[in-house]
Amino acid sequence: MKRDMEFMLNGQPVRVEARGGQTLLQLLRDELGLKGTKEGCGAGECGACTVVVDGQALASCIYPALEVEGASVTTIEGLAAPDGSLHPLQEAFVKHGAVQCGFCTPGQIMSAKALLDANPHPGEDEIRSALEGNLCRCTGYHQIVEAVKAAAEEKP
Amino acid sequence: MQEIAYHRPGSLAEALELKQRLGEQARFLAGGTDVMVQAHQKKLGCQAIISLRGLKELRGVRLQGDTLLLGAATTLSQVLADPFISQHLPVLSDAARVMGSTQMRNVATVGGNVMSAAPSGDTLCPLLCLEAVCHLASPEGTRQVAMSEMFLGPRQSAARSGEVLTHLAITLPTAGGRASAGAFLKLSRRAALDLALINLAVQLWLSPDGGSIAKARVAAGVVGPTPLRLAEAEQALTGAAPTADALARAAQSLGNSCNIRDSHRCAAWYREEMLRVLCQRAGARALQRLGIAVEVAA
Ligand SMILES: Cc1cc2nc3c(=O)[nH]c(=O)nc-3n(C[C@H](O)[C@H](O)[C@H](O)COP(=O)(O)OP(=O)(O)OC[C@H]3O[C@@H](n4cnc5c(N)ncnc54)[C@H](O)[C@@H]3O)c2cc1C
Ligand code: FES
Ligand code: FES
Repeated sequence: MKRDMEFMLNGQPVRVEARGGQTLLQLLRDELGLKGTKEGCGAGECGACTVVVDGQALASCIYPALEVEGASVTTIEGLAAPDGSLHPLQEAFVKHGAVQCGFCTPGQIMSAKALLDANPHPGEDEIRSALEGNLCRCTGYHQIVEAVKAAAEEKP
Repeated sequence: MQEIAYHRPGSLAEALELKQRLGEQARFLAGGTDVMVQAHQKKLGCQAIISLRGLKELRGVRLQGDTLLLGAATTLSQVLADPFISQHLPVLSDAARVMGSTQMRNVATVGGNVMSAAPSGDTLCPLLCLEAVCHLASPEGTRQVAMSEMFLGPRQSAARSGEVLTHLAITLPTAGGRASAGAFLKLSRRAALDLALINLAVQLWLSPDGGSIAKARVAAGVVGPTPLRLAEAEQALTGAAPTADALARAAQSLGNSCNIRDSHRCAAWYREEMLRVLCQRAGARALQRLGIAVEVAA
């Protein structure tokens, strides 16, 4: 079963044909060519596929594509400005060494983005809780938390 | 996921009608955190999904007199953020806080947790202690099933195929100004993204003078095929003074009604020991919430 649907993707309206059994992750990567969102476990457990839907971070690998009809979806590709300058979170991740292999990074940043949009000045506990669903095999997490703190402090 | 028909009905009536028509080939989906994982594992075994996400009949948290009506499609994040729930039903907020991860809490629903009927389901023990009533709708009408009657076996609920859980009705434990509080604790290997090795909830009501425990509810998960009320512990607490001693006696009484087993995740003896520890700690936390400080061993 296929269905035409519309939703907002990184601030732009898009119209796509989605399949009943498709996940949002498959729609983003395979149909729309947005490969920034990663697939780790495919089962909701690692956070690599995190995107923001109507302000909420969620695992796109277990989210039905057809559920985003009419919603607003933000992926890692939606963060940099049109002139290519990086989002403060991306800057902070680079500056604080929060990226090693980089596989978990889009998911970490999208979880952090949802947090900072809802709560611009979180405490360390709130940062750790917002990122608890994002596994990282490289950094040991400390740098990631520092990066999110730094990006939060930069915000007005 | 294989080829699957995906329906997004606009009303409860439409959802029930669809399910009646499609029968066993169709599954309901709320947050999808169980359904979509089964699809990923190719264990879904159905050709159609009926999404309950859009149904306003399943949404929202309302107070009707002394009864809280908790919509089945309420997400765990919504439970956690609800100030009324954290004030009057902290035992439920405790459970929502330790479930999965932020990404999962943002979509997973309370109704989905109940209907999945997993022995480890974290909201189940709190809902058992709160004596919640499940409201089920079918094309024939509605019926109510007490939480204590809701679980028949692992992943097997008393709901019939084709029934939708619309909401849970919870009489406020604090109704009529009664002093009551609860607490939930979960033992797992990791703080986030891990199922419970065991979990346990306690809800305590004090006598009007505060000198004794007038009523107690204790429930534990992963101690048998379904989450269980622990009658011996409840009896040990009822009528006792709200002290560490009473909690210790309740903990000692535990185990007889359980059927704790070894599993690849945890040995039975450890589950049994930890059940006693959680019982005392959760009891102490509930008493703390009532302004009674108790020190428990372990
Ligand atoms: C990464 C991850 C971590 C998890 N961690 C935990 C955890 O810590 N603790 C825990 O308890 N669980 C956990 N779970 C399991 C799951 O998220 C919960 O059971 C959740 O509450 C299910 O809700 P849902 O809305 O996503 O259910 P769905 O997947 O939508 O549905 C689950 C089942 O219930 C049925 N159903 C759902 N709603 C209704 C309704 N209103 N009426 C009738 N039938 C209905 C569906 O047909 C399906 O059979 C985890 C899952 C994942 C993927
Ligand atoms: S790929 Fe989605 S959570 Fe791991
Ligand atoms: S940077 Fe490699 S997994 Fe996080």
